[in-house]
Amino acid sequence: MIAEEPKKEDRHKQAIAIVKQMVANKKAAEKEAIENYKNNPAKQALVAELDRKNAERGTPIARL
Amino acid sequence: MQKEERRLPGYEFTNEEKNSFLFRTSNRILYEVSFKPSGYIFANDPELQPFVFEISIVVIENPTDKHPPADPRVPPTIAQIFGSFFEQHERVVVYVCDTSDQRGSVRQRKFLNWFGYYKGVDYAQFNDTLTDEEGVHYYVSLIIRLDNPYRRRLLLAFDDLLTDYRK
Repeated sequence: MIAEEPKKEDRHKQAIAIVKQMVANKKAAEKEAIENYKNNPAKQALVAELDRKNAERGTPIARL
Repeated sequence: MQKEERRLPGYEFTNEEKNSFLFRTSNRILYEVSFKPSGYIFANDPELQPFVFEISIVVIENPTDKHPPADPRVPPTIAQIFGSFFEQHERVVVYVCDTSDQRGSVRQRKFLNWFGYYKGVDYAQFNDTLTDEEGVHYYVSLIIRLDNPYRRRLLLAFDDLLTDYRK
């Protein structure tokens, strides 16, 4: 038995659902990144170390 | 002739956490660039799923309390981060623009501008737009290395996701 191809309209709905999911995931990831930084001492330590190295070099700009 | 601005160095970044990159700008703004596994996008081809990631670029600390100004060193920094992330050359990055505030096209242009720094001869980008029943546009971009062994399949999967619905 051959599986029936989804109708064009159904495929469009499916594609829109995926893209909307991507937008929702993106917004969630943005909120999560901000909250995670505020509440994650390990991540804060990474940033502190980055800041320390930048201060030591006198600039946040990478060497060529 | 190549533009001189392409050689502008970016900011130092750290990549101690898997798929997460942090950098601080001269204005003390802290960015996180992260890549989240997103195999569901190409649900029709399970073999591709481990290589599909969504990117998010987030200001996680901004001591200026103002909208981050245009910074010419951010694009080359993003470029270097992409270079690091794409060391595993099967990977593919999908970027979607948030359209909720009607600025989706502006965001897409900004992202395309960033992409201009790392495109060169090593990467390819494919863009498309989907429109829902309410007329809202969704801008979607796919970025791969040209030597990605799944290149053809990835493009077919992307095409399958979007092409049938173009006007």
